[in-house]
Amino acid sequence: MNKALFLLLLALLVVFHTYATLPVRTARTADSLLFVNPVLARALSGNFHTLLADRLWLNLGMVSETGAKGSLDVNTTLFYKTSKTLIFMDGNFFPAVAYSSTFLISIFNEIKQAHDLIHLARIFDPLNFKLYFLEIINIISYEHATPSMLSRVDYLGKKALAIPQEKRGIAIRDSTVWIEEALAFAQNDLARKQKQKEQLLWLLKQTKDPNQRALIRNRLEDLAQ
Amino acid sequence: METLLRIQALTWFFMRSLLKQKASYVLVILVVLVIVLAYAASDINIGKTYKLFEDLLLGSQMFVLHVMALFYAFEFLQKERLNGLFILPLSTALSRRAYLMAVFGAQAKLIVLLGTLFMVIDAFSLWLVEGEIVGMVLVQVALYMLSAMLLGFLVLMFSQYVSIMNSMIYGVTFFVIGGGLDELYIYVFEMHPELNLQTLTLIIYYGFVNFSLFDIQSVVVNRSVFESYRIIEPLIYMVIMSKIVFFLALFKFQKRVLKTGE
Repeated sequence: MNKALFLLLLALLVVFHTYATLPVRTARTADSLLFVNPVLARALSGNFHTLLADRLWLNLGMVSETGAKGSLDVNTTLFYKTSKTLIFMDGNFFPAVAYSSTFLISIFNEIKQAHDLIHLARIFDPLNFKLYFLEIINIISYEHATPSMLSRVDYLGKKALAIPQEKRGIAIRDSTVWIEEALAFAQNDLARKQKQKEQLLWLLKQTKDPNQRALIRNRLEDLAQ
Repeated sequence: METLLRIQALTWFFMRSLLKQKASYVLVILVVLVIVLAYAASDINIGKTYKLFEDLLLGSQMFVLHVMALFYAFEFLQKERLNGLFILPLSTALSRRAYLMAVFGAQAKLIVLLGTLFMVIDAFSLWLVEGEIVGMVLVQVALYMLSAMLLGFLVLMFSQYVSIMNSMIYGVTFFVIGGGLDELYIYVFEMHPELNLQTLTLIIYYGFVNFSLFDIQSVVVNRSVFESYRIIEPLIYMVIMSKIVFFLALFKFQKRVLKTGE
């Protein structure tokens, strides 16, 4: 009896060892559809392009997890390309634009790529207030915003305000006030930097000492960034 | 007035003979099956409620409408060429123009019949799944209906110049190329505006048979704000294009020697 039980246990152990061992984690690969030329893919998929976009959206989460060490290890170019294909397939699909652009900015500081995606979406969906809102938030919350970016807030704000209140579709009831405040902030910051620049230029003219002149030049360069 | 009545009668005659095909019923059943599948998939959250459901709904109906347009055109041409369907109507002093009008009319009415059926099915399933009848989805089905109609007209037109099989191939080719014209437009005007192809692109965009105008599915399923020209433009385009296609067909049909068993 004991012998039989022992053999059964041994057999179970062998079976367990053979079939129930932990799977080795293999590197995930993304769908090959994602790497094709988005323009060509959309043209070839014809009227099924939105259906294909749904499939790509289900895959996009997978791409953002392809990094072996988690989200920080993701290949941003790959993620950018995937999102671009998805947005080209269905430009009105706002969740995809919001997710991919926020992912690129918040984790990788890739503001240029993120804004490329938003601009691509705006080609298809020019009357979407949320796209303007998203881009403005991205710029004013970005750590290393340059004066040229802030001057873009001015342009975006005016465009956003041209969209009627009832067509905006966002939770903030008075989005006009919000946009105007963002505009004021951007303009204020720009004006402050401009004033500082003028003062430094005046100081540069007055100063003769080469060491001090170099210091002022450094400050000016900092401001220009 | 009498000619009009005769055209009407002939249209109904053609329609009845085509509607008896089993394929009509089979494809309607297929659409209903896809709706069941879409209903099963409707709880997959893809960031937007009911997007996947509507995508499946519209995608399948678009496909079936176009396949049926090709099928009806092919079936009719087979009957006309092989069985000599034209002999009886044309021997009753009916002009060739009136005969061709009845042919085009039968094609259009069959697609409208099928499209209306789909719209009723859609209205019911939308009400069942989403709790409301979304008008925009029905508008999109109507636009696909026009697109399918145009495809059928194209095949009928090509068949005046080439064989039946070749006209089918040309029709499908024009449909594929015409569906990709919006990508060309976006590429030349928005993505690379420095390219010196804009005038040429505009000529191709409106001059070639542009099936992409009928596709506003992305706007519909995402409930985006859009300008009203997105609906008006395809309607006007359809009226103009179908007239051009009809006259191109008539131009050849009036001179063609009609034979059976081709």
